[in-house]
Amino acid sequence: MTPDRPSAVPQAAEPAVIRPAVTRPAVIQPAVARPGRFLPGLRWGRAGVWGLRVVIGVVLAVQVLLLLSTGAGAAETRRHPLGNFTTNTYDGLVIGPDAVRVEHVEDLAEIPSAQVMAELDASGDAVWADRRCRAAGQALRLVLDGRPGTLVPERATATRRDGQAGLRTLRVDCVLKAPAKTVRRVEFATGATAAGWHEITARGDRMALVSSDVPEESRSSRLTSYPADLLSSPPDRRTARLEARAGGPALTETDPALPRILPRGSDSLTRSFTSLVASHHLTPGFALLAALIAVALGALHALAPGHGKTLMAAYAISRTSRARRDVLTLGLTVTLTHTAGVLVLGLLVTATDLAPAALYPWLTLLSGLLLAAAGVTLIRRALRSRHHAHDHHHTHHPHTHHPNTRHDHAHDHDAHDHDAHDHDAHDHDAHDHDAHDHDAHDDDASHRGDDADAPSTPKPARPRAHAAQVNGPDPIEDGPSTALALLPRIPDPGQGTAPDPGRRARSASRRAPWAQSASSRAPRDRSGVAIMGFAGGMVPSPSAVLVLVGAAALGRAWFGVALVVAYGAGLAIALVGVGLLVCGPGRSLAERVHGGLHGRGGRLGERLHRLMHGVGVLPVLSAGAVVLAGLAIALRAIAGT
Amino acid sequence: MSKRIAALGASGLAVLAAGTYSLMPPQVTASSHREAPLISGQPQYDNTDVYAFVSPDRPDTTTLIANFLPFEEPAGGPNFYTFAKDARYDLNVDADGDSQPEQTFRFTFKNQVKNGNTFLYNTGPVKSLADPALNLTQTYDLELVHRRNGTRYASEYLIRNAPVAPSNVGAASMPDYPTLRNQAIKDLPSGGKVFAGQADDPFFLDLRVFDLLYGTNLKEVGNDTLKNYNVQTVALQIPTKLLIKEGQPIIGVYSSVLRQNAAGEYAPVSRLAMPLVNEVVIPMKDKDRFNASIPWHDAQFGKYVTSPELPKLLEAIYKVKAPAEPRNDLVQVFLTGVPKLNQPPGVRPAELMRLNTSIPPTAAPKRLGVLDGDTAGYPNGRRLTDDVVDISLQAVAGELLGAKNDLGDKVDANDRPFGKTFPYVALPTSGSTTKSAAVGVSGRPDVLDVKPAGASSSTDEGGTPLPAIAALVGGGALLSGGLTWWFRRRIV
Amino acid sequence: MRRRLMIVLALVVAMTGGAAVVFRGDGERGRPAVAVEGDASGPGLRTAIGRLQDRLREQPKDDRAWAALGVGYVEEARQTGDPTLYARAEEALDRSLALKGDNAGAFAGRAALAAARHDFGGALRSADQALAINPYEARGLAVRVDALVELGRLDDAWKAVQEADSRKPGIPIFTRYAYVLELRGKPAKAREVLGRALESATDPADLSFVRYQLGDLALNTGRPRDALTLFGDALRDDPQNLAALDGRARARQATGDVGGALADREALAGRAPLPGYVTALGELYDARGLPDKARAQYGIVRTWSALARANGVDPDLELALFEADHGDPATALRTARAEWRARCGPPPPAGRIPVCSLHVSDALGWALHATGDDREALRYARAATATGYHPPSFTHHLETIKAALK
Repeated sequence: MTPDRPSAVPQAAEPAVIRPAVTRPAVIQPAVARPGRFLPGLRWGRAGVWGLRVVIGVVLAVQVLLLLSTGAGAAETRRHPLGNFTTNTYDGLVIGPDAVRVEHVEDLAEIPSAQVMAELDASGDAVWADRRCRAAGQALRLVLDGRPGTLVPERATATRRDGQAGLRTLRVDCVLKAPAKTVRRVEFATGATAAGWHEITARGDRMALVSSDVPEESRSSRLTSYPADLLSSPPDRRTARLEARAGGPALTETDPALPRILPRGSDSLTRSFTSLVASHHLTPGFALLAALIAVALGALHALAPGHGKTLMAAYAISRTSRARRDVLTLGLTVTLTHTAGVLVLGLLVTATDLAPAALYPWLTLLSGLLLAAAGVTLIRRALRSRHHAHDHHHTHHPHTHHPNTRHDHAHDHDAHDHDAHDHDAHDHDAHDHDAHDHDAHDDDASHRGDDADAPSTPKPARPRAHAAQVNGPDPIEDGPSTALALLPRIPDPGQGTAPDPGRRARSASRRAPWAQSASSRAPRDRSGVAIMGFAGGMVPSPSAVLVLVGAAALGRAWFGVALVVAYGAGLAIALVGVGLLVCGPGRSLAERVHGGLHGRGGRLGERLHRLMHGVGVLPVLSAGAVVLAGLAIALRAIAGT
Repeated sequence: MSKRIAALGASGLAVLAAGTYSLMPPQVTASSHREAPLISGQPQYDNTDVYAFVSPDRPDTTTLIANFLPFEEPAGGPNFYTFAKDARYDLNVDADGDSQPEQTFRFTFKNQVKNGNTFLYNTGPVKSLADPALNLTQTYDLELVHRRNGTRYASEYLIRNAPVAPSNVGAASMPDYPTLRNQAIKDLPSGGKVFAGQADDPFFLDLRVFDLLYGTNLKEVGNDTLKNYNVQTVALQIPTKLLIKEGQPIIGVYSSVLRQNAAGEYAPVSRLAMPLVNEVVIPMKDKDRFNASIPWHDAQFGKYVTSPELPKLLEAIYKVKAPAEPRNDLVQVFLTGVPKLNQPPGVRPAELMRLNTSIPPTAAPKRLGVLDGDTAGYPNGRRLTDDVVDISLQAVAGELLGAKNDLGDKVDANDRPFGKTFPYVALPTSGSTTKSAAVGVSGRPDVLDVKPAGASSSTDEGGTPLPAIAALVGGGALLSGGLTWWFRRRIV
Repeated sequence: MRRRLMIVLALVVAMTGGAAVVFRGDGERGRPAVAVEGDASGPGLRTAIGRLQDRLREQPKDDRAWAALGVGYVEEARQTGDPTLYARAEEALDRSLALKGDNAGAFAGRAALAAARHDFGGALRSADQALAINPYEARGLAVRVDALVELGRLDDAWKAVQEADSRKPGIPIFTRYAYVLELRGKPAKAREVLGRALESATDPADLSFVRYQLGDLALNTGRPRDALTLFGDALRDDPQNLAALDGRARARQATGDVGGALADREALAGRAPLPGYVTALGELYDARGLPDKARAQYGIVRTWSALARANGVDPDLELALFEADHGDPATALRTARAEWRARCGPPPPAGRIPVCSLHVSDALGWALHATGDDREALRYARAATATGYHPPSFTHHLETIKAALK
């Protein structure tokens, strides 16, 4: 266990635990808003409008379901396991060859926090935390081979968090160390008297535990999420007794918070799914149901953090002419890699007793680098594409110019004008009026748009979509930062780590048009796509592994495999679905619109022209995003979170 | 499948409902008004089993045994059990079939602490009951209450300050427990014997048999749940002639516990005669009423015997056809006694253990007693070796009506052998017997050849379904989403 | 604790009609969970709850086990002061009722839950539901008494507790029997009953509670020295008994051992910073001439009120008294009146004060005094002490109000 990530602990934990409701939309968002901003064509395509609605609908459904599925849990975890006045403690013992480490965590609810707040404000967090951890070091009783061991704090941090009624709660993280050469008997007692969740875990590091009366993993992943199962009470463990002997594997886990089998992504959904599989007789009907659920889980997984990058990739590719094939390739590679990965990892978990959590950082690192590489190829492609721009403009012109198209516009145009639901229309108009104006307006406009027709459209989808709009920054440049947002201590996407809409629009108007069709010539497309897909599927989703292991544990390994494949299929469906949706209407419309452009100038023409210009730069941006994301992920892997 | 889905939906709703609590305003502080405890473990007053049989080694006497305080843990530490001091432990004997006892043998207990300065049960190895090392001892008085029409008209003490056999806390403290036990067996005037103290719980069964009540089949039974648990036993051996009325050899026996209440009166809190009546015949809501009532009023519970729940459950699970009601066969087993076997003339139906003392004991008792043609056993009285669970199950399923079945819990005998002489019950499991000994041996795999009815076997896990359904719907949404798009773009 | 296990098991068995509660779901077939290490060190109630949870994992259709679990959670909340357990209790009881409609045990559990949540009207209703199904339902009988007491219907409570005593004698009833006697101004008889309860009790937690109640009785009848020993014994029986710790603090203070009282109070506030305990600590600091420390404590109590408001819960009597003494008298009065209305209907106009919960009358009187309406205050303070129940705080309030009127 590496003591060098104090403040990261709560931060990393919080999004998952403290406000799942908030983080999820941010993750799913790209799929929501992307079409509106980046497929202007959609406004003229019924298909587009429909597709858009479908996406929004689906994403909303997904969000709602995610919320539903975690609803009770989330509400419960947000409160402390034992009400507002408890002090919950976790002590993680690690018996090493030359020292015994105790990771001591205190989670103070509102009232105990209030009890110490004055002190805290007086002395300052750092000092106070240090004092608190020293006190803890004295309060904890550690007996090593019959001799009292002295625990000295190596690190101490205190983190304030928001509690109920605008009150604060506190989290204290201490790492204490007592030198001890290959200790055999360890007795440990927390001096804890306060009511609360009291948990002790013990593991060996290059030492093996011969006997232990406490578990290895923390049920609350170190007081970050308190399971609220009606049939299990909060632990009240205040003593531990262990026997150890030299030898044994090094404790590879970088983060003691990570239970042995991949917690991240093993959400309540999956867990309940595995238990469902466990608790039912395997009738064909049920098998089918299970398979369907697996597909759904896969699809959800595709929309969840891990694959934001892949979605983005899908988007990036969708700008090429061979889009559909590429996207399919992407989906396919992802699925294959993923399924394979899961099966391998599943084997590792069940066969060997190697902790897969140890593998994860490496896989993540690799996938990150791969992704970055793929991004680079994309950038090169995109840049190259700019040169050919104009000839394509001309060669294309004649074909696409004939009467029907004109009719089409008119029709679609009206459609859009009266289309209250299509809020992209609104912010787009707004965006248009002051396209060269300050960046801020872009967002304002979008708000105006929303508020304007919110009442007129009572369908539940609306408020959600609105929230999504306001919540995070614009999804596309958000691409990288979405990935980043998942990482601890990296500036919040809101604080424009990313290029912002307004500037993009402006620069767009200066770019050469039709870049998209040009890039279709680029030779090494497929390789990039494949890499990307590979990177995308590289890190097997914990949920899938869980499903597999779960099924295997029930002696239904084959069924597990089937489920995993179904899972992969779901993954593919989601990715391909989004990809196609994005590229499908976009391209077809682009051509028609282009025709119309030459048919007549005028404001509409103007606008379209500018828009089509905008298109050319996107591959560069999003490819850049991919690179960033890749690097970021690699970074995270190294950081070990 | 559809059934299962429905199940999913149902408990899914349950989960939702459960989920909602977290939304309602929680109470910030737990209640602060004066709160007395609600739960109080007081098993000393719990009657577990009654036995009545003609003494195999002294056929002219009848042995009555009653057990109390279930689940006495032998293992681990200073662990001792006593009879309650504020209770009357009664063994009632009805000699004329009117359900009212003519004689009540009443045990009342006192504690003696030799050394008040220590809480230790014993301060050293205990060689005899008189050993000063045995710090806490119990003694009892046995009073015989003579009644006419149920009301007391005379009483005499058969013995006073008799010692109670102590808890068998372990070989270190009690190197020779059998001696202690023997010292606790006392002779009564007119040739009787009496014993009170700890003993191995002679009842053998797999408690999971009661899961029948929840529609679960007996798949997993086969362990003697009470293996290595002890009980507090009182045992009497009385010359039969002193129990019966001239020319009427059939007696009705039941034990009862009266507890002194706050007002200082003695209130009935527990009553028992035939085994399993409390568990499977009387429904939960009437158990307490039954325990507080006297046999004279048992007509009020008649309906539970004439149209019992259990056969219906058995039919649902095992497709064993439930016999037609009213179940007069069960009325005979539980209330009146079986004619020509143990039914006294002019009997008043009442839940008593009826024993025909004129039937001589057999050298080779059969586990299934009367069902197996051994009339010296249950339901004619009850011997320690009678497998009352299997007998009752089979009887309830209609065995006595010719509906042959082999229902049972697959626990056919007690884990430790019974004594050949009074008090017959096995020595208590010693505290030095390790806990691991408590792990029972599993019975034959599939206990019953009867196929369980499909639905009843699936226990639905609350909590699971909602997310599952959610995911399912989610997947559906995604798929349909994609399809819709394909469809739309074709026609544009 | 061993004996506790046995008792607990018996409880569970009793609740589940002897069903196989004692089995682990973990495949160790036939192995009684008693033998399972770990929680054995913890309080027996927790062990019982653990056993019920195991049981229900194995047999989710066991309505009795669900009901027992619900009651278990309510009991645990009573001991730990953890309010989140109420939600769990409620869910368990609902499950039980869903499985079995005419379910005295579950209704009794609901009654207990409602009482714990200070919904004494609801508690009474549920208890009556339970007793309609099973007139001998032990918890139903007990909670019915609690509800009537808290609603100030002392005569009905007296009838109820006698009935309960004749049907289900036991520690839960004995302690209530004694409490009703005490409230009716019969401390001697109450002591006698508690003495009998002490003779009968075997379970450490029971012993501890009975001794605590004896100590309380001693304190209320001006025998602080006896109280001190009794509370000490109570703590020896069950070190987790916070009420006994609070009692000892009061007794020590009464016997002039302020230092010891302070130690107890600080320990108490550390272990369970509930409003009542924190307020008492603050007042002790004040008495010790440590206003700053006192203020800090009062700050924490205000935090409680804030939480209460944020959760849409009325602060309870303790907070009312706190407001009267150290906060905003108006709030105190509002809270006290609300409590009165909730328990005893609309506050009476002039004339005789109907008997309501003695503690509510006292709180309302004290709140009125704080707002300066001593004439009205006196009426309530008198009503509070009318039955002959004279805990020091009541007497103190009454005297202060009288003095203010002179």
